[in-house]
Amino acid sequence: METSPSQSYLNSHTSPKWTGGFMSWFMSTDHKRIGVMYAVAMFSFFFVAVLLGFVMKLQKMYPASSGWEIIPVELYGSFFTLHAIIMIFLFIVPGAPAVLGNFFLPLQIGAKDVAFPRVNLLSFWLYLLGAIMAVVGILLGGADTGWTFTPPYSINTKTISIFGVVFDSISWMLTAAFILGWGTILTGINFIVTIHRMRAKGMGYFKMPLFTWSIYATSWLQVLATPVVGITLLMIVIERIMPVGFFDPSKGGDPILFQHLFWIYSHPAVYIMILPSMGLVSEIIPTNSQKPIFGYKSIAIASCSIAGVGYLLWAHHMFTTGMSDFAAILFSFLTFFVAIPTAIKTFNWTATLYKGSITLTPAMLFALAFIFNFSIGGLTGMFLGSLSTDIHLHDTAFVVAHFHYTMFGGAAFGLIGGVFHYFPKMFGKMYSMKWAKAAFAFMFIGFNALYFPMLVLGYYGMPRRYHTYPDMPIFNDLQMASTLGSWILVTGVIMVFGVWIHALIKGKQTTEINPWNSSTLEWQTATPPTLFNFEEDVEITRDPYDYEAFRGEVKAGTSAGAKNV
Amino acid sequence: MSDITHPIEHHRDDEGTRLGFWLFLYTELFLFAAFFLVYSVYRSSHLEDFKLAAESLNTGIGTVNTIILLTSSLTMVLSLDALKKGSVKLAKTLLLVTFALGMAFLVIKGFEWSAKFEHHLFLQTAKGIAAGHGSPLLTPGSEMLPVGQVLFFGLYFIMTGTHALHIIIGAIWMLIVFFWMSKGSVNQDNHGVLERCGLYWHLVDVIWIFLFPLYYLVA
Amino acid sequence: MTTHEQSLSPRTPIMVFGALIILTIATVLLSGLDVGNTGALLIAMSVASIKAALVLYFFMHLNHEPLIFKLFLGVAFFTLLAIFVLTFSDYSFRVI
Repeated sequence: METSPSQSYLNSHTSPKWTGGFMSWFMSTDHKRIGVMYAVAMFSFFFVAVLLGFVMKLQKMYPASSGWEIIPVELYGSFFTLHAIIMIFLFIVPGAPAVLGNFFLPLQIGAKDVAFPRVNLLSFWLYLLGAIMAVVGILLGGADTGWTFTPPYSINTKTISIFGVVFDSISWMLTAAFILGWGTILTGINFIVTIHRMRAKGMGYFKMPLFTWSIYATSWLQVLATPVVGITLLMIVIERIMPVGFFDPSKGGDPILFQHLFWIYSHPAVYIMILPSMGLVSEIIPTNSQKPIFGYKSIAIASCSIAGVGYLLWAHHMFTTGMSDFAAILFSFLTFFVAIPTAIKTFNWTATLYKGSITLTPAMLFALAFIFNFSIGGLTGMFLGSLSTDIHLHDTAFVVAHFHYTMFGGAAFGLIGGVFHYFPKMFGKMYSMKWAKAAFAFMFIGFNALYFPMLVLGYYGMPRRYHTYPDMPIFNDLQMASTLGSWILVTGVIMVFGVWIHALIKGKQTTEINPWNSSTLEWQTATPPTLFNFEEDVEITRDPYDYEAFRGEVKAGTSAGAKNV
Repeated sequence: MSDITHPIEHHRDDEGTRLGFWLFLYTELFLFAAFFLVYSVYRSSHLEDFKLAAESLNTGIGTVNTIILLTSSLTMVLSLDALKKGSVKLAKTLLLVTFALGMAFLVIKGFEWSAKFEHHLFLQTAKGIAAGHGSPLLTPGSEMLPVGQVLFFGLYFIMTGTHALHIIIGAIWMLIVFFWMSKGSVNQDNHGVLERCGLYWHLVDVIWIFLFPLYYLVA
Repeated sequence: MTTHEQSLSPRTPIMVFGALIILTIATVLLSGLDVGNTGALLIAMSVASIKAALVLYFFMHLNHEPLIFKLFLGVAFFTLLAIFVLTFSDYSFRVI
């Protein structure tokens, strides 16, 4: 096939050696192809983890005393560990930056690629290597430590050999997590340098779209937090295979210190997960309201202050571990500060809707659901951040529900909404609006039916990570409701995938440049984008969400708008 | 098929590359920071054990190694300056000197380590733990070291070991740059690789600057 | 080519190296003083910080880099500081 820079990235290649087929993707340093590859890998893992969660919910349908057992108790421990490892390390931590950040960050700032394209490909390979190692670890013994790998259990537990070979699958999977960590670190470095060095002419820092801002804040967290957990997980490996003491109390270690080091990363990690989705919501809402986002600067600064404050409150995961009262009070106090920038964003999004001409595209529906779910997730987080209520709610289903309201109802809904938003630009194909909206309805209803009862269950004392529960009416009814919700939710997830796959194979071909009539730069290039993104060097003169100026440009013919507006 | 070169590759941004490399150095720094945090927490809770254990380390050897590493940093700086001035030969010689000093550091470290092994400071803890004597609740008098010293030597071996690993990576990198300088692909105009290799080497030096007093001096 | 001008005379590096050696010897000698645990730690860490700053500023050429490099160093430094201070907000107040 003849290949030239003015062709769609789907048909032209950066590598002179590999001009077609699998290798032209696998060896490609094109940020758009790398983004698509991440999407394929990540959503596949996501689906596997959804199925694991589905089985766990099925197990909880009836109490054990009724004789109901889908999976034995030992396997349940492996299931929630694997569910979490896949969801966190393979799906939501790389998340929106890896897929949509890779694809759209250079487009949003008018760059031809990221700063270090080959390092970008290396990140993807590291991700893939880590993912394959994790899967191999799962197949050869798995782990039942929980994704937190808390010692001394994670140090002392023996792994079972499956094929007659003794295989330390826990050390293996910790190493996999370490490698995955380097993948995200390199992506973070790449994005920071790209944003600092490669903005188009005229694009000052406060002319960048908000998704770019959120990626910037995320990247800093990736760079400054990930190494800490990387080495901490390796310390567990070292302690498993060598006679040294770090965290094992029998060797003088302090297991709480592990938790400090673990949460020094893993608390900022929840902002790594949520910030990019907040950025996506900040793109979707002004586009589908056709008016400037309310409080642009405050959202941009809020992204950075969430990242900054988010680094300082990790120990609110540890109120019940036996750390000092002083630290508990301090961390509880600091925790409330992160609510401020988060609330600023939420108010700004709702204020943007006011008097907007709102179009309920599938992306918009997911963005609105994000606000709803994330408000519940965020406010329940305040319960857990207060010392006295946390004593009661710690390690109950309440925590699980809170976490899923932020990470699934928030981060994952935002990511899925973002993919719906950008799908036509990425692939030049249009999906079925009707089915996409139906899929949304199933996901939204199923999600709330699954997790809201868990908030109540947790309040009534249902512990997390338990295989079953006592036969009591309040537990039975709520667990049943939650399980039924999981069926609706899984149907919704399958429908979302169905809509995407159908669109890729049989969807209507489109070259419409700006289908949603958006004012930001990434919509001003060809659909799908050409190899080097922009035919000519771009120059920015107006604010990213200045819809008045944008409408003028469309009228004057200097910018592309939607045909049917 | 036409030949498309990547736009980024013929637009060289030295400053951007350096900025990215500094960010990478911060990740290395944070990696060691986790070790230092563990060290400082256990030092504060097992002060006497840490002091006793640290006395078995030889301050003289530690000082010599510090001076070796500082000297290697100097030769690295001079090597880069020589390359910038265009004297490739001098730059290559100075890079080899840096490499040799790195090796000298490793050899001395090796002797120090094997002396520790001979005194069973590492293996004794292993034996003790294997025999179940590790618990702080058990009475002393067994051959087992006190837990504070187990922690100290564990941290000592792993932290200096990780540092030595970085020395090895830096040394291998120097050899590669040396080879490229001989080939001419790293030269007066294109000295970025040597510069980054140098930055890495200096960071390894900075980490040692903190390791040295914590293990050899504050006893 | 990079735009920043820097003198390539070996004078500055050698002077910095001299200072580093003197500080190394000084910290070894000072460790013999009986100033208690906190005092010894304070002296050793102060000297080490000065040495590290010299290496960062002169050997790693931060003195010739633009402002953004120094800001990044500041971000990294304050994050490190926060990790240590907040962790010790637990360990300094433990009641066991």
